[in-house]
This record gives sequence, C-alpha cells and structure tokens, in this order.
Amino acid sequence: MKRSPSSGGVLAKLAVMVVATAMTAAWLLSVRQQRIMAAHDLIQAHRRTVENEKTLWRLRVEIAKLLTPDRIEQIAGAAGPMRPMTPEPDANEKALAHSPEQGERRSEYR
Amino acid sequence: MTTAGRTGLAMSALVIGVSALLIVMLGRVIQLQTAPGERLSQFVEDRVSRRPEVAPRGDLLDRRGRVLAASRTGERLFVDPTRLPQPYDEVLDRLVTQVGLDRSDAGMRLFGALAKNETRVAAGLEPVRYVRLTGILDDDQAEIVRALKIPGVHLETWTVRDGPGEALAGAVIGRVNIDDQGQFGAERAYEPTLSGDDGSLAYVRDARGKPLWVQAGAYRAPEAGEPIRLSIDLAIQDIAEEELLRGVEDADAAGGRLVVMDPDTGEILAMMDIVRDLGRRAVPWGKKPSAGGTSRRTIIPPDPNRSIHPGAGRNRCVTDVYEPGSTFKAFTWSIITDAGVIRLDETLHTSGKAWVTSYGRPIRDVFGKEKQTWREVLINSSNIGMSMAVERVKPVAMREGLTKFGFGATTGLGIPGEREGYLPPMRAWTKYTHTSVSFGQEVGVTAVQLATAFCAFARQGEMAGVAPRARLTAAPSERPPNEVVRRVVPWNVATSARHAMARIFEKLDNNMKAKEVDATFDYALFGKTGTGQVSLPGERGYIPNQYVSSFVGAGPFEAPRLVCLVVIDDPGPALVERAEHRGSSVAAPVVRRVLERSLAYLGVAPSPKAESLASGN
Repeated sequence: MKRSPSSGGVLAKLAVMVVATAMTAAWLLSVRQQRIMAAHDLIQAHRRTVENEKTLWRLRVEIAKLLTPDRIEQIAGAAGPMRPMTPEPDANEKALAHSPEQGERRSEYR
Repeated sequence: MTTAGRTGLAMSALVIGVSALLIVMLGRVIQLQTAPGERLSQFVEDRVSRRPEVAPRGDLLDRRGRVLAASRTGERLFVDPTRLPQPYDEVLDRLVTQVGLDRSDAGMRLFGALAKNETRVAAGLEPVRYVRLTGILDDDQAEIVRALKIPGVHLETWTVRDGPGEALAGAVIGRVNIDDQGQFGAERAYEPTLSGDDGSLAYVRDARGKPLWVQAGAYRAPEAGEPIRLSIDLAIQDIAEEELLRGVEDADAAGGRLVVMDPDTGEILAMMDIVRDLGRRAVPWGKKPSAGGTSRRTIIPPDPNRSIHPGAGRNRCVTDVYEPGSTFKAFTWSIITDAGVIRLDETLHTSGKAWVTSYGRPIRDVFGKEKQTWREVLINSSNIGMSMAVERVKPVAMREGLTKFGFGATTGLGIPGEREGYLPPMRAWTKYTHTSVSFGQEVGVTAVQLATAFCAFARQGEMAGVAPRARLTAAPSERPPNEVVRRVVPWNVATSARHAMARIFEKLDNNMKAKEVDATFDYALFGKTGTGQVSLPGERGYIPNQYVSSFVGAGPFEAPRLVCLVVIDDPGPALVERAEHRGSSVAAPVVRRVLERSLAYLGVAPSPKAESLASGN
C-alpha cells in the first residue's frame, strides 16, 4: 500500500498543533497556579499584618499605662534622689558632671 | 475511492474533530469563567468569604501627646449550647477553675440559655446557639480557653477602648458603646473625627476553607480615625485627683469638683469630680430625715451609670449647677466698679454684722465691720457692703455684666449634658434678687462656667478683663495669644479685683501656716472663697447646716498661668459645728496645694516676694 504524499504532512501539522496547544495549556495552567499561589501568600501576609497591628494596638495601650505620671514618679523615686533641672543649661551640666550615672539617665529622658 | 483518498479523508475528519473538541472545551471554560450555571455559581459564592477590616478609632491624647484612650482588640468567650459536651456542670467547672470565670454569673447565663433552648425546641423553634459568658478576657485567659479545646466553646474578637485616662480622667474622656461609637464625654463630643471607616476583604476559599485569592476590587482598606489632642494634662490631672481626694476626705464631704484652666487659652488642663459614698451617715436621696436618725441629707443626685463605668457617669463639673455664694462677689464687684458708681477708696458704713436694705431686708455679715472701703468689701467678703453698692446699679446693667462673664449660657466645651446654669430672667429679677445676686445667691453656675469666667482676672496687661473661650482640645500653637474673644470688664478693673483677691490669699496663707508650721509656699496667688447653701429640687428654702464650699484661685500673682476652682460638696457635720466648713477652710487649701504642685511641674519660677506684690495697688 502506498501512502498519500499529503497525509504525512497533515499528520505532522496535526501533531505540532496538538503539542503546541498542550504546551500552551500547560503554560497557562502554570501561570494561573502561580497567580493563585501569589494571591494566597498575599492573603496570608495580610492576615499576619492584621495580627501584628492588633499586637501593636495592645502594646501601645500597655506602654501608655506604664507611662502615667504616677508610674514615672515611682520609677524616679526608686532611682534615687533627683535634682531639679535648673534654667541655665551650663549649671545643669555642671551639676550632672559629678555623677556619670545621672548624666546617662538624663540623656535617656531628653 | 483509493486508499490514499480514504486516509486523507480520515485525517481531515480527525483534524476537524480535534479542532471542534478544542473549541467546545474553550467555550466551556469561557462559560464556567463568565456565566456558570445556577448550581455551580451557588457553589462558587459559598466559597467566598467576606470579613470586615476594623478601622482603629483615633486615639485620645493629652496635651503632651500621652495616650489617654486607645483602641485595642480583646476576646470574649461564648458558647454554642448545641455543641457543648455533657455533663454541662463539668464544662462550667473547667471554665471556672482554669479560666477564672465568675461561677454564678457564667452559670446563670449558661443554664438559663439551656433551659430556654428546651422550651424553644419543644415549640419547634431553632435553639439559641450564641451565649456570651464573659466580658473581655485578658490575654492569659484567652490562651487557656484556646488550649482547653472544648467543643462549642469559642472566642470572639472585639474592639475595646483602653488606656490610663479611664482611671484618671474617666468623666472627661467618657466611653464608647459596644459598636465602638462615642457614647459619653470627649468620645462622643469628637465622634466624627475619632471614628474610622471600616474596610472589607472578600476572598475565595479552597475546599478546606483556606484562602485562595482575592479578586480585583474585593479589598477595601480601612481608614483609621484621626487622633484628638485634648487640653487635659495627665500630670496635672493626677495632681488634681490626689489633692481633691485628700480635700474631700479631710472635710468628710459628700463629694468634690475641681477644674484647672489655662487663663490665656481657655484650655481645661484638669477636670475632676468625686462622689463619696456616705452610707448610713446620710439620708438617701429624695428622703427626709426621720426622728432619731441622721439629719444629713444626700445632696448629690444619684448617678447609677457611674458605678457601671467611670466614663458613663455625669461629669458634674459641667452638669451639676450649684449656688456659688461669695465666689460670685468677684464678678459682681467688678461689674459695680465698672459702672463707675463707686470708687475703690470710697468708705461704706457697713454697720457691723447686720444692716437692712432700703426695702427692709436684713443682711448679715460673718465678720462685722463698722466701715470699710469698697476694695475692703471684696477682701472681707462683706454681704452688707455688696448689698449697699449694688443698689446704685440698675438690674439690667448687672444682668448684662454677668451675661458677658458667660453666666447663664454653656461654655461651648461640647461635653454632652453641659448645663447653662441659672441666671434669673429680667422679668423675674426683683429687688430681692438684685441684692441676692450681689453676693452669689439666687444664681446657679457650673464649675467650668465659674472657672472660665474667673480667667478674665488672671490675664496679663490689657488682656486682663478678657474672658477666653473654654476648650477641651489643645490650643493650636499658631493661635494668636492676644485674641480678644469676649471683653467683660476693663483691664484696670480686672487688675484691681486681682490685687484685692491677692490680699484674701495672703490671709488664708497665714492661717494655713499657723496650722501647719512647716508650710512654705513658692507662689503668690489670688482668689475668692465662697460658701453656698443647698436647696433640693421640689423643696422650698435651704437645707439647714449643709453647704457647698468653694474656692477659685489663680497664680502666680505676677503672671498667672493657671486658674483652679475647687468645690467641696457638703462638708461633714463636725466641721459645720466648729464653723470650719467654709470655702476658706476646706477648699482653699486644696487650691493652694494643686497650684503649688502644678506650677512647679510646669517649671514656673517661684514668685519674687509674695507679700509685696499683693499690696501693690
């Protein structure tokens, strides 16, 4: 039996078309999957952001509660006798120069 | 047909078939994407979760940016009774012992819901599946609930308002309701600015319920509320609370009110209101004393909301009106002086402790003086002197002057429930009223109203006599310091009144120093004392032996930075018996201590020589 010269060409074209279609479909699927993964990661990141924001809110309130005048007074009292700040900065520096610890402490509150 | 022809035909048919199949598949994909069938679209919808993104409410800050109230999330415990394992007693026991729930409260809620469900099921209704057992839990408690993993026991997240302001300035800050909307105080007054705009997020879930993706336009970001910087200074508020508590306890009083203001800007730096439970030592509100029992009446109207939350109660500094007594003389004295009907050095023959007006009303003074100058009338707080001088002023002029000071109108602070006070209308302004008003009777004021009006005496130079507009938010720095809001009296009249009132404080300081040998004062102050009587709604006349004692002062004398008003409600009977219930005895020391500490905190330099300043004019 003798094959038609055109049938081989058509078969080859068909095979190329099917393979090309399959590759395109696979590529499209892969892109779509990547998009889904990215969106999923985005949602997870968003949820973590929301959780972190909630933690931040809670910490802000806790910090505020620890910074009341009463509390600062207690801390200052426990830190030892403190000298009032004098209006003249030079005099202040002189007063604090005697105690390196006080100098450090003062810089913390600046 | 030849073999080649048949093969070619078969190939063509295959190509057409495959192509048709591909086209059909493509069409189906497009249909599924764009217009899925009813059953499928319902399935897709079920896989979409929508959840609100809570926008945080703006913070309430003090004038120095310290947080007074901020939003945070908390968790509450609720149960689904239909999924709760039996026996219920054991579940409750685990929650009580391990999480620390209140057994009676939680038990009542749970078993109440179970009983209700039995009735509902018997009636063919759906059972209740949500029973809240607690308020907001702390973090440790929430962790324990999660670890217990009891079926039907769940946690739900809520936004709550928290911060140090609740304890220190609850009445000023107010509170929010369950929907996070301002309900009382500053939270309500500034609701439009503080409230945020909630966002939303819709996402598609997979078969296991895990989020897959967000479609375009399915996310709307929440917009946080704007923070508000209040005029309150947390440190001064702390001082105010401490000293007012001390003052109320020292006076065995039923309560106290305190307002600290910046006279230049009208900012309220501290506002405090205390109510003390006198228990059986006072006759309950609305009842009259019975024979053999205590005769002390409850003069502060009850406020059930106060026990629920400090921010839910009345802010008595703006809602409760009282008769100011002699503190009011500072204002009427200035109006009479401004009218030009009397000179500062004019001598009035005040006839000792009793005098009768031109229409036959007897007037009495605590300290009898045969004669005194007009200036001394204010220093000695003479009812007789005020009654004599007020007869020279027309009632219209007096009422108009008091209106200029802001009496009879709200201060515009914006705190819900603020009262206007009481200034008799012209048609009800009798001769009797005219005399009474001159020494602070027949009028009603709120603490904030009186403190704001007094700021006119505490301003410098030509701004003396100009009343500021009271405000609860921090004044912007770009605001012109010399903005004339409301001139109430000429600057020289206000300055004269200030000098006279400095003499009052000098006398009080000497008394305080005599009592407390170690007392030393850094600042020269000026102020006016007052002791008003109390009348109760629905009753005629005043209650015997019960008073509202107050003192309004400012300092330092040479350049006033702060105005402070203290009202002590109903000093105890023992003090009344010893005549130590007056504003000078119970309220003035509180004003002195608050101003001394607050001025030092603000870094104000001590007064150069207190004694010489006051006697300068």
